[in-house]
Amino acid sequence: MRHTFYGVLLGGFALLLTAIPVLAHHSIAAEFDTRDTVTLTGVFTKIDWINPHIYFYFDARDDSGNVTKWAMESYPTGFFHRAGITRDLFKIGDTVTVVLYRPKDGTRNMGYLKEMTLPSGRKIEFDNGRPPSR
Amino acid sequence: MKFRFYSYAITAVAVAVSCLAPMRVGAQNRSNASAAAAAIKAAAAKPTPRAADGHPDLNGYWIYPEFDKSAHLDSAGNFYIDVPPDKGGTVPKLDASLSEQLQHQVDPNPPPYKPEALAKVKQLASDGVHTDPAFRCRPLGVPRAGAPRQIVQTPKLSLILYQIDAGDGDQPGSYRLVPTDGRPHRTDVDPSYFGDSIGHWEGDTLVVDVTHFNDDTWLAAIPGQGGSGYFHTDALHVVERLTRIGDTLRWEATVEDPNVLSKPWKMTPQTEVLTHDMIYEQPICEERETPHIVNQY
Repeated sequence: MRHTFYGVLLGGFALLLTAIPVLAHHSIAAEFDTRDTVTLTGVFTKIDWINPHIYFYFDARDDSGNVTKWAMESYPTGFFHRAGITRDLFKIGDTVTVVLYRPKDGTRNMGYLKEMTLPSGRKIEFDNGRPPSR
Repeated sequence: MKFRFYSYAITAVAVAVSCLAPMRVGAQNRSNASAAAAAIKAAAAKPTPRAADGHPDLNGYWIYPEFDKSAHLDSAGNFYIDVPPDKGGTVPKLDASLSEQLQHQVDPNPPPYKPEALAKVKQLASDGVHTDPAFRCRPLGVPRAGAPRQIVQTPKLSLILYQIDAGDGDQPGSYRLVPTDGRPHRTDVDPSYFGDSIGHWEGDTLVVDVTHFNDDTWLAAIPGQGGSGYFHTDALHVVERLTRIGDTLRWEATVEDPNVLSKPWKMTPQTEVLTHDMIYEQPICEERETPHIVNQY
């Protein structure tokens, strides 16, 4: 399984070359406060694998068992593609832990994906200048 | 509301890190540029294959030689995906001076707009979130889509395929048919994003003449940022020149729009290199964010 993932990732590196530096959708900061994060654990209920932003929907459960529906905006599909991550990595019903940026307009139960921990324990982190490994 | 959530106050750390960001970004761009130049030089040194009809063989999947690694795995199989600053990367975005820099980046080769059109360009550029057609998932069209991604060449008809792969305006199935059999432009169809193309060979260069555009695209984005405001009218006329040198493809484009440009605009040429990849069907583009946009940056 790990070999498969490395194979996929190497393919992803080859496809990095497909990036075209002519576009930029709005910056995260136009919509979200990158200094205000929230960490949640929940179950995927719907995944819209679309551009210019992927949307994940999940039911977050608190310590008392109360469930709240959340929407999570994320990067374009190409970002995932170039990292070797496809839609297949995410399953409806998966329990994930996410770190989200909160929206500036005060919309509740919505955020922008900063980090995600998959059921396998593997993490996906988006950021600038991360060290290659740690 | 007893969610297991915590808000962090990371401002101090972020500001400290962001002080270093401009320097790091600059250094990275320089090394990428030299690696790309070396890749182009090596690919250009290869022989230029020809099709059966003697013209250069433009078939293949062509890409820009960028070498910035956008993702890496650590030993535990975790993904770390870097986000470039012009894509909203978080660390540089927290740095006011870099944000400022990106906002006011000067285009080294702007279209020669007539003075009376410049005010509209500035107005559009100042509110790109609401005015840029690509933000609303409109196809990029010609010439903003830039150099072809994949070409399928036959003696009398070539097919140009696009795959933007970055989100904006990136609709599945963006293509153009370029007849090279001497037929004239057709006028029996609606104006469109990619226009009507006809091609002919001038020596070893495929020249593609494009007319019959709608006015729902911008001509280009300013490198490194999205909103250029480079609007045009339906008088747009684009002439592209495609030249294969070794395993490189050079794309040049000259843009005319007498309604808003004072003279033809020669766009900055782009050079791609040949790879063995293929176009795949993109997910659809469906903009949902505009209602939540608070500010430009």
